[in-house]
Amino acid sequence: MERLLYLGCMVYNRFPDYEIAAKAVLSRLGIKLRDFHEFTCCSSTFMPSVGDTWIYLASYNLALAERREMDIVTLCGTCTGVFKRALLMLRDEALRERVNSRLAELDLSVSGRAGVSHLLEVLTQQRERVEREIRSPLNLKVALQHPCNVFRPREIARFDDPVRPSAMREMVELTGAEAVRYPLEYECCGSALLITSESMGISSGADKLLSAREAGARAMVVACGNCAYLFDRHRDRIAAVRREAQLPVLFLPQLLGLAFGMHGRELGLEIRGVELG
Amino acid sequence: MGECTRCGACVRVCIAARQGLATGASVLERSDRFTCAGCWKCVEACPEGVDIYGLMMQSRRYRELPESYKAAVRRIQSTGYAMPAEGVNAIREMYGLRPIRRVRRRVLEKLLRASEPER
Repeated sequence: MERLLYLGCMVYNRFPDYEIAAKAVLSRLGIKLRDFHEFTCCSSTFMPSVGDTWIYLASYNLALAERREMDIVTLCGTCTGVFKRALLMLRDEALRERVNSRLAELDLSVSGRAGVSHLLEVLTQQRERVEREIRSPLNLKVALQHPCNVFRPREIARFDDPVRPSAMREMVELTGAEAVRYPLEYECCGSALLITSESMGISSGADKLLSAREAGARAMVVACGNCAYLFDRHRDRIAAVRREAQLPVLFLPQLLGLAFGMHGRELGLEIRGVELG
Repeated sequence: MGECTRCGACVRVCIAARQGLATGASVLERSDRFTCAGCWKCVEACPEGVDIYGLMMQSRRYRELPESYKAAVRRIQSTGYAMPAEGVNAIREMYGLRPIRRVRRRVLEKLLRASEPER
């Protein structure tokens, strides 16, 4: 099975290790991720905030996937949510025609037939295969940062429980790692707050890391570049606010890969220098 | 879609409110519409089914964008990506990843030009 890997700005820009680990783990499950290099920004939160043109940008990516006759795998919550919203809206024939009249100028068209799934959804669909691949069960306590837009809002995401999601926990527990419950587990990480208020974003990240650490977690597992951007890239600023709010950040496929018996290098662990104490 | 009754359910689950953002009885009443984590817990919490996402986006379009939004929109318009793309391919090459091909300006101009008025 082949899928197109939509990296999104956050991952191609900052987290090559997430890309490397996702490819390695899905490859082990028999899913080949094809590079999707001519993509544009999904539209993120920025373009829908300025006007209606966001649908063209999102549809362009969907149209490219259709042309290659492949479904898309996403790695971040925001891209997943934007694409799924676009797919839902494109069911409207009048809008689809409007979008297609513009895409026609680029010799493209969109029908909405290319599926969009976040990595966590793909892994969940492959649950039995994941279970069979576990060769080195992990003895590690981790906390989970559930990727908001993968399951919320419910009418867009159509995956997992929108308020108390369980898919990520089920996946992590297959590895033998213990996903500790912590008071702020189901809260958003707050990464997008950084866009307009760095202090609120940092304080939100500190709250979560501290809550997870106090519950006994030794690592924070994430499945979205935005969450990693806050917890990992802002670790020094978080530490400056709350010294003890520190945890190594692991992407979900890195955790799974370790349990599959893969080496750290195959999973890009050396790139951010992740060390699990 | 329902109407807001100002019950406060959205504010109680709002992470920006928890971090101290001044807000009224509803997230749709706050003056700062941009300091938002985009987690949409408010959408799930609303007992009236108000289209908070739609109303939030609509209201942003009538307000002055924060500088950080303007910068991201400019980057999307000029490079196709929200994040800076300079130097990325050198890093990708270092890790054996294939380069990103930048989208042509002509493509972006077509995709992002203002919508034609409805006929």
